[in-house]
Parts: sequence; structure tokens; C-alpha cells
Amino acid sequence: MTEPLLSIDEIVTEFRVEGGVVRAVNGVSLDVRPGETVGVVGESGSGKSVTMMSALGLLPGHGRVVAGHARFRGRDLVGLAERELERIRGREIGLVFQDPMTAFNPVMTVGEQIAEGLRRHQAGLSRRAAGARVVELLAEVGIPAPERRARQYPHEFSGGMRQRAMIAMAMANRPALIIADEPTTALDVTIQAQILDLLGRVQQETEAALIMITHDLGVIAEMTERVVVMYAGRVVETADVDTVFHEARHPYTRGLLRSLPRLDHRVAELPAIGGQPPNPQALPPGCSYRPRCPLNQGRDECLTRPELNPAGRGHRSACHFHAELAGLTGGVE
Amino acid sequence: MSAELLRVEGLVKHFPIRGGVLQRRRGTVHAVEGVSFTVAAGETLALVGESGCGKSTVGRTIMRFHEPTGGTVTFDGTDLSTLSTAQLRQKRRELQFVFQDPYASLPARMPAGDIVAEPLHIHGVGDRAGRRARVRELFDLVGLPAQAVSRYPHEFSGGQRQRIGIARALALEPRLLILDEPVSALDVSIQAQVVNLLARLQRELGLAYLFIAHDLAVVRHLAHQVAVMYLGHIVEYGDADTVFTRPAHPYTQALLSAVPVPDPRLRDPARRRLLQGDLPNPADPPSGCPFRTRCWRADDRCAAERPALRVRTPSGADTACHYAEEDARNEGARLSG
Amino acid sequence: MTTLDTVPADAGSVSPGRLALRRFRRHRLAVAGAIMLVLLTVGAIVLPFVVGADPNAVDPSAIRRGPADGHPLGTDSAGRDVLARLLAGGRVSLLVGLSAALIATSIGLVLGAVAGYFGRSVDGALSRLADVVLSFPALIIIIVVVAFVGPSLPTLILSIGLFGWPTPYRIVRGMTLSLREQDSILAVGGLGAGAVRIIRKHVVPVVIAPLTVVATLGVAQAILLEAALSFLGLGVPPPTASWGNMLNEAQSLTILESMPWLWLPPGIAIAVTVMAVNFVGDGLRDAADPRAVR
Repeated sequence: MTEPLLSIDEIVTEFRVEGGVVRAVNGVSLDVRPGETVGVVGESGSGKSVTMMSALGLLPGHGRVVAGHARFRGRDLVGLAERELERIRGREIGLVFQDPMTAFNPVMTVGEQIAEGLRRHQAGLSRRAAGARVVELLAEVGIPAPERRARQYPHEFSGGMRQRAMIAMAMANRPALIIADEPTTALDVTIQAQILDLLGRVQQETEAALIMITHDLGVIAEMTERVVVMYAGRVVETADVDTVFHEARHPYTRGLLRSLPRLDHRVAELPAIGGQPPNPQALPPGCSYRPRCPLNQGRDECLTRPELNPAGRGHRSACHFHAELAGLTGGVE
Repeated sequence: MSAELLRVEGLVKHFPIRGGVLQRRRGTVHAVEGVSFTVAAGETLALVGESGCGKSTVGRTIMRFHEPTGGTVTFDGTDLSTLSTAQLRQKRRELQFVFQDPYASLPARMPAGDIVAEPLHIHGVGDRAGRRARVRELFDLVGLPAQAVSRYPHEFSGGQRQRIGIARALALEPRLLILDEPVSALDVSIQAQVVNLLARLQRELGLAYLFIAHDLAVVRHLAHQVAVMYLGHIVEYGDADTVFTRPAHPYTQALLSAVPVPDPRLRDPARRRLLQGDLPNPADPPSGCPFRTRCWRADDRCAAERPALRVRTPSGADTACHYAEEDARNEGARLSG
Repeated sequence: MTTLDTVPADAGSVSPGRLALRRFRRHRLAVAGAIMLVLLTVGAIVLPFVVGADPNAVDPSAIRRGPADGHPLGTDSAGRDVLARLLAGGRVSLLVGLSAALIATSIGLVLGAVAGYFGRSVDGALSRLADVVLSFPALIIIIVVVAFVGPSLPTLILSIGLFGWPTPYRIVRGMTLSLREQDSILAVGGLGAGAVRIIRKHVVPVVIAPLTVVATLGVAQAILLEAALSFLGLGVPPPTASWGNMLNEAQSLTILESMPWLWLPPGIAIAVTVMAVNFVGDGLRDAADPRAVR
């Protein structure tokens, strides 16, 4: 077994809010090995993005990692000085965000910004060489007329083009890991297809590992090898992608999959998950999914927090009753 | 086929682009370019397409949030443009709108009960007690607990807010709801709840829906008829099953193939028909067929002549593509050969 | 049917108004300002009865006398008790400030909402009018008006009020203009509501919060304007006391140099009041955003 490239270990992140502290991430662990594609899926408030931002030192001012580690190539990123982090982000770890408009500086041309990233991490790279490399990169991500485009400002790009430029910037220094946070959520479906295709290609060519953070199970199914399902600040299930979609052992994963409307078949009524997503400021004690869970049925076990227990080869589930889901196809009533 | 409730004919909506110190008109955004369709009583027509295709503008122009540039909207046999303001207000009772973002579309300072009662106030329906009873009935209908009447929008989750928006739209017993992306702002686990609610309301109340959406899977679940829009035009229009299973327009094909399938066993990159480039600027649309700049099928004819939206194959939907017949023949030959 | 949604279980509903109040209460300076204003108002109304001295009573035996027994803040050039005049003047200053700001804000609110909602020519006409009013130096116009009509309290209030509306007008117009395009307003129009109802029930409640901020600034401005006019002898006609005309009577080098009890109290009173009003305005501005629910 290869050493993990990134190993997130029991990260706990809190945000100061008016009237107290919200624990947005509550003991999340996950490993990414070189070259692998890991999907992190969850709904808003599940903590999927915050986990990554915690690891990368990109939390907003009112957020703080209160416990845990995030080791990248053996080095703990938590508590690392900002200068050191900057050296790693952009060189060894490339980032792709949901909204490239906020990631780009609006008063610099796209070419200048990518060149700056190149020169910051590659000492001795001349301005001219950097400029040539930028054009090459823009061409690689499928931006037509790259010489002209490099001289344009971010607002002159369409959403899809901006996302391509963002990917060019993320891959500029041949990172070992690319983290994509909802990279296609703001895009239309035909543009999403282009960007997913591009991400897949870039990953193949650079042999980088990819963490795909998304709420879209379709994107997870299309793109990833291993999946981490998050709910209310915790990992509730993790397994390879086929297992998650066909032999999930957590009632939330099952519920989510079943509730999706499908293009390929129609059902009379969607089997929806009942209730509301949990309020991170007032999580129920014990299992956070308990109030919405069909397996709960008032059982006492659900009042204690389930550990992420093995449920098969490379498969873990944070449900006391995951064994009851073994062999069952479809959902639980 | 049930009775026709809404008929939209040749709807056009242009927006001026103004600029400069004097706010002179510099150009025109061709948001909607001659769109025609009908919605039958008790049925759902889905208007699908990507951002910038004009689908939302169609809904908003029907509601007269914008004045139409051209075309007619006939509701229940009455041309809405011939009505006086007062008559239009009366007609609007039967034609209601649900917004994408329930938080932005609900007044923040009103408790939920007052929000749902507002249309009753506006039209002077019932007395105080009658209105209160009606609000309670509506809350029950959309699955909101009765004690929620005194709570404010910020105290609800996204799904609950959308229920309030739906309850308000239902207060005047409309016959048609225009639903503008009603579930796209909601979390996945909540989407299904609201989709089910909409399906149940249609069954129980015999409502017709004009369902504006970009999420094709949701549309597949709810729609009877589908109209696919691209750059202000309808490019394919017909029975939902036909459009979804035998799409004849290249754009519809690309759109359907682009939707990621939530099953890794069906993963097939070759299935995707990747389109080149971006949507053209709606202020400067291409000549001829609007889709030709991104179409693998396009040739000189497509640049010269805009294909009409009509039946082109015996079993297909109305399609605005010069080559739909030819493609269907080739496909048939491929399957039989 | 889908599962019944759960509604947040905490007891009692929190209205946006109450949330704003909560945020306001956390703003320390604003709370201090509000307390100050309440004290000033109550003081101006109640204290004269406690002090008992007549602000207009002349004591020929005690002219320009420093603070002493019987006259805690001394007496002025006519031998009137400065404390009594300060309190009476507070009534006048606060009355002018509040009423003038109320008039200006009300006119600005109505015209701004109408201009913003209807747009086009209505907006064009009203906005030009606002520009015209703004482009005149208010103080000079008011001086001319007062010179014609003669100084009196109602004239003062009205003229300050009538010249103050363009600022609130612009705020309301701008907000209404953007509100009109927002879903929350479109939604109500879609339900069949007419312009009057939309403005009254959906525009006014939204713009009222930021408008309060502008109104507090208007109060401060009006108090200063009254002081300035009274200082010039065109404000509240004597013998009625106001902070401004108390200052007016103190404008000689001898008094400034050797009789600070004649100008320091009204000066401090004006400064404190204006500051308190501005602090309250700051607090209201921070508390006003109803969607910033935290």
C-alpha cells in the first residue's frame, strides 16, 4: 500500500458566530493516495468544503482548526506558517474553486496572474518563458486564441472559460494534488461536461491526485474512484465508488441515492428523505442523522454517536445498524 | 389531450442595452425570439435550457413582470394584452408564479401566516376568520405545521420557505402555476420532498404547471410536455417521453448526454456529446440556426436559413433542425443494419 | 405525503425587528447615545419644574453673575438664570430638531417611494426638483424666507424641514428603484397587488430602517441649523430661549474670555446632543439589515 499523499486526521473546526461557537467539522479523517480521485460528497452544511479549507489554512477569520492534523507528504499543514503554506498551495497542491471570479484578481490580466503563480514557485523562470508557458497552458485547457486570451481580464471570460483558466492556473506548477471545490456547480450542464472532461484529462496527464468536493452524486459517479460521504460535520460512510452507489451501508447514503430523480427511469413518487437538514448550531445528541433515519425507530443505540466502523473491504460506515443494510438493494423503509 | 389553458404565440422579448453618459441605447439583447407553446389544463410543460436561453424571461413576460416586445399570451381563451389593468389583476388570480429563491421572494418582515394571507387581502377574499382558516388549510396542504404561521422567513429552512412560497401562490386557487426553477436552490435531500409536493398538488388540485428548469432529471420526473430552448428559440418541443428517449435536435442530444448519471456502472465518457465553446452573445446572435456555432452538424445551409420548428420525423417531436430527418433515417439504418 | 417538516423548536418566534433591537443593544456607543438622548429629553421636559426658576424672569440685581447659590450656572446679560434657559432651550432645540427631521423624512419617504416605484417621467421630475433644492444653499434661502415671514418657531421648523427632504428622498428613491426589480416585490405584484399597497406594505417597511439612520442625521443637522439661525438672530425669537440664541447673546470677546458660563453650557449641550444622535444613527445602521440574521 502506498503512503497517502494527504492524510487528514481527526480534524475539528469551529466557527465563532454571534452567541457562541459552531463546530462545522467534527473529527473528520480521510486519506488521498498519489494519483487517486477521491470524491467528497455532502449537502450544504455537511462540512465538506470546510474540511479542505481547514487542511489548507484557508479558513475565513472567524474559523479555527481546534484539533487534528492534515499531513501532506508527511508534513502537518495545521499550524504551519502562512509563508510555508503559500509555498505548498499553488505548487504542490492546485486549487479549483466554484467561483473563479473571486479567485482571480479583477484588475490583472489572466495571463499575468498565471505567470505570477509560475514565477513565484519556479525561481529563475524568465518573464518571457513564463509568458510562453501561460499560452501553452491556456491552450492545453482548451481556450481558443490563447495569446489573445492571456491579455484579457477575468471579466472578459465566460464562466466556463474562467473555470478553464482556473484549472490552467491550478495545474501550472504540476501539483501532486488538485483540490476542486464544487468546480462545476455554477456552470450549465453542457459546460459542466466540458470541464469534467478537462479535469479528467488534466489528471491523467499530470498524474495528480484529485479531490472532488461536490453535492452532485452524478459528478461523483462519473469522476471518482473512492467516495467520502459527509453529513453534519462528520464522515458517515466511505468506500469505493461502486460500493457507495450499489452497496451503501449508511441509511443517509441510501436515502440520498434513492431520492434522486433519474433521467433513465421514471418513478411515480420520489422516495424522499424526510425532515430537514440538521442545524449545525443545534445538532441532536448521538447520531446526527437519527431524526431523519428510518433505522432509528427509537432504538437506544442511536442516542450514542456511532463510530466509523468497518463494513467491508475498504468500506466504513458510521451507523450502529449498518449490518442490517448488508445485501439489501435499494433503500430502507 | 385536455383542454388548452395557456397559449403563447410568437412571444418576443428584447432588452435594450444602454451605456455611456447619456444612457443611449447601444444594442439589444434578444432574450426571447418568437416562442410559441401551449399548456393544457392539469398538465406540465417544462421549459428547459441553460442559463441565457430565455426560459425565465418567457415565464416573467407571461406574468407581465416585463412588457412583451411582441406576441400574444392567451389564458383560458382571453388575450391578456387586451385586458385593462383591473381585468388583468382579476385574471392573475388564476395564474400564479413561484420563484427560484424563496428567501429573496418572501417579505422578510412578515410572519409566514401573513405572507400566505396576503393574496386573500389583496383580492378581499373572506373575512378575518375565513382567511385564517384558509391559511391553516394551505399550510396543511403544503405540509407546513400549523404553529409555523407566526414564524418569520429567516426561521425556516430552504425547503420550508419554498413551501410557504407555494402556499402563497395557491391561496387564490389558481389553475396555472409558473414555477421558475423551484427546486434548484434546495439541497438534494430536500429537492425530492418539494418535487413530490408539486406532483401531489397537481394530482389533487388539477393544476397546470409551466415548469422552468435546467435540471433535466427533475423535468423528466414531472413533465408531460417539454420545450427545449436555446438562445431565445425553442429548438425542440413535444411529448416528454419522445424528447427524452428520442431527442432529434443536436442540442437536445448534447444536453441529455451531458447530464452525469449517478451510477458508476453506467460511466461512459464516449456517451457524452461534448459541445464546443460557449453560448453566443444574445446581443449578437448568429445568423440562421442559433445553435450552428456549436453544432457538429452545421454547414452553409444552417448559416443561411433558420430551420423551422415542425414535425420532421413520424415518431419525433417538433424539431428546429434541417438535418433531423436525415439523422433519423441514418439512425434507423444503423439500427436495422 | 412527505414527512412533516420540523420547525425550529426554540420557544417563541423572533421577529426581524427584535433581532435588529438585539444587534442595536450590542452597539455600546449607540446605547450610550440613546440613553443620553432620553436623559436630555426627559431633562428638558421635567427638570424645569424641578428647578422651578422661570427662564424669562429678569433679576436686575444679578446680571452676568457667575455660578453661585440660587443660580447654579450663573445668570446672563439680562439677569436670567442660565440653567433655566438651558433646559428651556433644550425643549426648543429638540422640538425643532425632531419635528424638522420628521417633516423632511416624511416628504422624502413619500416622494422617494413614488419616484422609485413609478420611475420614468415621475422620477425625472421629482429628481430634478430635488437637485434644484439641493443646489441652493439652504441656510441662505432659509434666511431669506425667515426675513420675509418673520422669525417664529413654526416658520423655523417648516423651512428647515422643507429644505431637508432631498437627502432622505435620494436614499428612498435609490432603494425603491432596486427593490422594484427584486423578487419579493415582483411576487406581490404577481399576486395582483396595486401600487399603493406595494409601496405601503412592501417598500416602506424595507426602506424605513435605513431611512431612520438618515433621519437621525437630519435631527442633528436641524439642531445645528437652528443654532446657527438663532445665533444669527433669525431663529427662535427672543425672549424664548434656545441653545442657539443663548450662544448668540454670548458673542462678545469679553464674554468669551471671562464668562464661560454663558456659552459653555449651550455649546456642550449642542455638541452632546448631536453626538448622541449620531451614535444612535450608527447603531441603527448596523442593526438595520434584516437578512444579516446571526
